Order: sequence, then C-alpha cells, then structure tokens
Amino acid sequence: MSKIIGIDLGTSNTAAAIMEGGKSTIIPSAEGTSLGGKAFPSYVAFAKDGQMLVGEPARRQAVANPEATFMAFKRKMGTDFHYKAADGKQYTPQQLSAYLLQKVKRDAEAFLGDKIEKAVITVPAYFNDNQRQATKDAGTIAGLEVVRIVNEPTAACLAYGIDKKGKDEKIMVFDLGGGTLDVTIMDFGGGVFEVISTSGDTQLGGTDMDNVLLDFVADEFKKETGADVRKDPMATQRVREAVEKAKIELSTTFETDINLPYLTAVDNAPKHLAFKFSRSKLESLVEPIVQKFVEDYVGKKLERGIDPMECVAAGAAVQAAVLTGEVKDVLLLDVTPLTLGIETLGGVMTPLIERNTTIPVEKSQIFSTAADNQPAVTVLVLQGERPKASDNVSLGKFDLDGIPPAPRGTPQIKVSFSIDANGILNVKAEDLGTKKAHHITISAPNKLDKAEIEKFVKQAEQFAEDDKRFKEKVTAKNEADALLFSAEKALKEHGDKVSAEDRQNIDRGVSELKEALKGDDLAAINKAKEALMKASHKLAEEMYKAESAKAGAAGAAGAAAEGDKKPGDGVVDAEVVDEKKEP
Amino acid sequence: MSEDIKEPSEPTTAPAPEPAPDYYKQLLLLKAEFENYRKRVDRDRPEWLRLGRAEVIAKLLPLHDLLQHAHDEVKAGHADTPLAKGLDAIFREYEKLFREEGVSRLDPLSKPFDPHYHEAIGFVDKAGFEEGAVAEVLQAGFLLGDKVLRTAKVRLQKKSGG
Repeated sequence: MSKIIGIDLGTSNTAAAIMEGGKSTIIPSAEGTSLGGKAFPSYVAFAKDGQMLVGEPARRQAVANPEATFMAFKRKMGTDFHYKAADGKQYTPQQLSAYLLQKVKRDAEAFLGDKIEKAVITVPAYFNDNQRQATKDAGTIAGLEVVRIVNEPTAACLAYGIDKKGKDEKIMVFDLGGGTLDVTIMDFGGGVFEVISTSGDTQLGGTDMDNVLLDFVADEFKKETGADVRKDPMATQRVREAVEKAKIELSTTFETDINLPYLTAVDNAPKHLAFKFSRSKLESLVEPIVQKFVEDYVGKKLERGIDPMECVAAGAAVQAAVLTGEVKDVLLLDVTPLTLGIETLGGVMTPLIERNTTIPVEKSQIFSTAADNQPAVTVLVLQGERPKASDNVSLGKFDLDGIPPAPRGTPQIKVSFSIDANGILNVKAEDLGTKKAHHITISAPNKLDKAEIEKFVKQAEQFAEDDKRFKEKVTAKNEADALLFSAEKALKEHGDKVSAEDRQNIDRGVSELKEALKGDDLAAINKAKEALMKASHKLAEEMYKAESAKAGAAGAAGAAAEGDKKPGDGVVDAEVVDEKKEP
Repeated sequence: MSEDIKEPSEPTTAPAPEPAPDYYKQLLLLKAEFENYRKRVDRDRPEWLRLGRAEVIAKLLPLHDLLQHAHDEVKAGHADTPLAKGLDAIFREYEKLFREEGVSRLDPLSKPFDPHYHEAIGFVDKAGFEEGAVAEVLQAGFLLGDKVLRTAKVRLQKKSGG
C-alpha cells in the first residue's frame, strides 16, 4: 500500500508531511536541506532559457525576472484568470499549482525512496466548491490522486490530536501567517469537525509587523546618521532579519540589542547601527505578543507545541493516514500506564515491565527460592510505582508448587510477563528444572481511568523519600540475612579449621545480627553485619589455606560479602537472582 | 461543510466483541516501514553531520562579512600599519579554515545569473558587463562541498542604455 502525502498548499509557502510509524514527518525541499528551510516557497518561474524553476530557485530570481515569475496564485484558484508569461504562453492557477505539487511530489519521493501517488491537500475554510475543485484539478495535473480536500483549520486540529481527546467541543483556530490572518470557529462532535464561522484579513500577516518595525528602526537610523537604509537592499535585508529576531526575543525578554556594524556608508564613512529595543516600544508599534492577546481575549489557554509552519501539513498527513487505515492500526500500539511486577523477598515490588512501555511486549526474569527445600513460590502480580509491594495494586496471585528439595537459590524459576496488543496480561512462572509451569491471565490491567493513573504516579513522587528509606531497610535486611545464612553454613562445614576463639566470635556475631534483625534499626543492623563479616573473614582465610583449590566454599563467603543471598525469614516467596552474578 | 474523521459508531445495547485486527499484516507493514526508515537514517546520517557543521559555519559567515568590512576600511586608509598586516594574517587563517572545512567561495562576478546559486537583489548599470550577467556582488556566497551554504546576493547588469 503506497503512502498518502499531506500537503499544505499555501499562498506564500507550501509544506508537505507524511506519517511514519504513527508520527508525522515534514518533507524537506531539495534546496531547503542546506539550512533549516524545509518549506517550498510557492513560486513558479520560467527562465529566459526556457527552464522552469519552482520553489526556492524561482524565488531567488523573482526580482530579475518579474514578468515570468508567478506567486500567490492560490488567490486566483477557481477563477478563469490566466497568467501570461513573457513569451505569450498562458498558465491557469491550477497549472502553476500543479508545477509546485509536482516538485513536492518529486522531492518527497527522493526523500522517502518510494513512489507517491496520492495526496490529501488542505484549503482555507472559506474556499468554495470551485476553488476546491480547482485544487483537486491541480493535484491531478501533477500526477497525484487527491483523495481528500481538508480545511486548513481542521488539519491544524488533527495535528494537535483534538479529535483524540474524546470530547465534543468548540475550537478556535487562529492562523496568523506571513501574509494572511484566518480565524475559524469549529465544532467538534461525533468524530466530525464542522466549520461554524470563518473570517480574517487576507492582507495582514507577520510580514506587515516586520515592515512596521523595519520602518521604525530605519527612521531612527536616518535621524542619527542621515543615511536611509531602505535605499540599500542589502542593508534593508540585514535590518529586516535583525528586527525579526528582536521581535522573537522580545516575546520572552524585556529588552534586546540590535547591533549592525558597517550597515551602510555615508561619503565612504561606514555607519554602524546600535539600537536598544524594549518590549514596551515594540508593543507601541505592533501587537507582538499575539499568543497572549488571543489568550486574554478568549480567556483560554492555547494549544501550542507544533511549529505553525508545519502544523497544517502535519494534520493533512494525519488525515491521509486515517484514510489508509494506518492511524487506527498504529494507535493500537498502546503503552502500559503503570509499572507491572511481582512481590519479592522482604515485601519488595520487583518491576518486570516499566511504565510507558509500548505494547505488545514480553519480558522475563529468573528468580529463585528464598529458603532451603522451599517447595513452592508465590507469584503476586503488582501494578504501580512504589517499591513496597503492599503500596501497589495487586492484580492477582498464584502458586507454583512441586519444586524439588534443593538449597536456597538453586532452583531457577522463570517468570514471564506478556501483554498483547489488547492490553491483556499473561503471567507465567516456570520451574526450568522440572519444566512445571503455571500461569494467570489478567484481562485489561490498563483499564484504570486517567485520574487513577495520575494519582498513582503522583503518590510515587510524593512518597519517594519514604520509599527510598523502605528500600534501603529491606536491602540491608536481605543482605544481613544472606550473610547469616552463609556464615552459619560455613561454620557448620568448616568450623573445625579455625580456633575455638574464632568460632565463638562468629557465633556471637551471628546471634547479635539475629537480634538486630528483630528490630528496625538500620544502623544497628549494619553494625552487627560489619562485625559478623569481620569475624567470618578469619574463617574464610583458614578455608583458603586448607582447601585453596575448592572454589565453592570461597564462593559462599564471597557471595555473603556481596549480599546476594538471603535466607528465608518465614516468608516463602520468590527471590531475585541477579543474573550477572554466579550463585 | 464537514469531514468525516471516523465512522460514527452504531449505538448498541451490549458491546459487541471487536473483530481481531490483522496483526500479521500490521507487523509486515510496520517492519517494512521501519526497514525503510532505517535505510534512510543510514543514508542521511553523514548528511546530518554535514548539516550540523553547515549551521555553525553559516552563522559565522555574517561575522566574517563584518570583519571583511573592517579589513577593507583599514586597507583603504592604513595599509602599511601593523593593524592591517594583522588583519591580513587573520584572513589567511580564515581561508585555511574554510579550506579544511570544505567551504569555498562563489565567484559569480560577470558570470551568467544562476538562481540555483545566486539571489537577485536588483539591477545595476555598469560598464563591461553583458546584459543579465552578475555585475555586482552585494554579499559573497559560499558552498560547503557542492551544496549551497549561502547564496550570493547579486545585482544584474541592466539592458545597455536602459
């Protein structure tokens, strides 16, 4: 299925976009890639050698070839007006638009490496049937099947995803272009946009504001130096660029400098322009803070975030993707709103699928038993952002039993989470030794409303400090448990290799740590842990001396120091086995 | 006037199970799209690096122009001064930097106007130029490799006697 391109066929600039993987991509013009400029200036020209120029090159030669350079032909769409070139040839607005569309098609094909045959083209809301038909004809001449004509304000709404909000509302689209202003009031309901009213000024745009500023600065400069920059086209251009930049800067700052050294010369003496421009001065000349003005006027916050130069083309691409069915498909790729995981030793939530993961997805992790000869593990499926298992939502639980008697940490239990495209979660636990497996299916774990999701995420942020402490405590306790386990084991197996005094030291360390673990004092636990670790080192040393070749015993001591293993403290539960470390 | 965005759903009393979408087809489409995207990314990566350099160099060009103005002024009145010689050296360094970065200067004077490289600002009447040829360069143009970094802003020769 070939792509449908979305085209904003504008009066002064044309832009095009295409949907890729559910997101719109603006097509850069072949010339525009050099610096930023992605748009296609809506210019067509016929050079003296007969060559047709379209877009940027046509604009560059407009001054030199005015009688055969055509622009703003959108204004004549749907009329029987004919443009006459110097050689007597005549062109309809549709034809000129078609040349522009052809260039867009060509550049898009080069950019995508794919043929483009269909297009969605936007038109102003006030275009009548004749004008719409003419736009369609232009597409046909260019070799594009125009599958839909869309109103520009509708496209803007689509680019902002207003149709996806799931509520009916009235929308104002305020489109202040380079040369025109269009304001449209629309009604959105039942998946349909309807234009209630549209108005504007076809002769007012950002360029007019720049002209006012340019005149002001030029007048000031003339007062000061006697030189009129408007007589010098290069100087005019530099001032125009500078005031445009200043205008943008003054939207966020109160004052800016315009510095243009060597702007022009009077009697071969160079004249420099240095000018302080304040926001209040700017506001007295034009209404610069257009967005603020509109917000104050309607008493509502604006939707923003999409480059206004690209917004309409992006919306046309969205409409194109709707027509190919692509958007519907792609939107099925939802994300998990909250983290999913299981409870592990010490009441900890161990995440398997993090929030905002695109579904469908499958993730698995190997867990193990927490006690010797543990016959079963309980898999408690959790949803939420908090580290403490009980602070999260429990989605379901099941036991995997029949685990053959084995030392703690030996059995390998693979827990897999898979979410299909419909958001249905399947959790499976498998004993890799016996191949015995058990699973649970939880339908629609995502079916929380937005407010609930927000609440959970907020809570997680709010309790971050408490949660950190909880996690520290559990980690310390688990580490201490593991140390106790390996110290006792080593003492039982190799106790005869050290002196009675060393044995007593270890015994004391063990009982002190056990005592500390009964309480919640983190400092006491850590202190007792250190003491036991120190006492156990003696044993490890002796073990090395006696059986330097036996790696197993040394491994036990090493693992204890790293705190990888945790003996059961009455909780029969799954335990995380760090896959990077050998047990 | 209105446009259908989605088909309005039929009112139903009980939610009917949605037909299963064709995931295999979607997978193929998405995979093909991703493959094409990857190819384009691979192809365009050197281009992005070039563009990043181009952006910075292009921003430096106006400063280069200004320094050139200052240089011209100094050369006109004080050619033999240490200041002028210092500036000469600075511009030799500039030329070196441009060469290293693959930046070259367009030299359109008296050549035919070409809108792919030049931007016409207006006309001028100067002796010794063919009609329509570039008779005055108002702002120098530059290439980065074979791509236009900045067009040359030029004036063209008027029709003789016109």
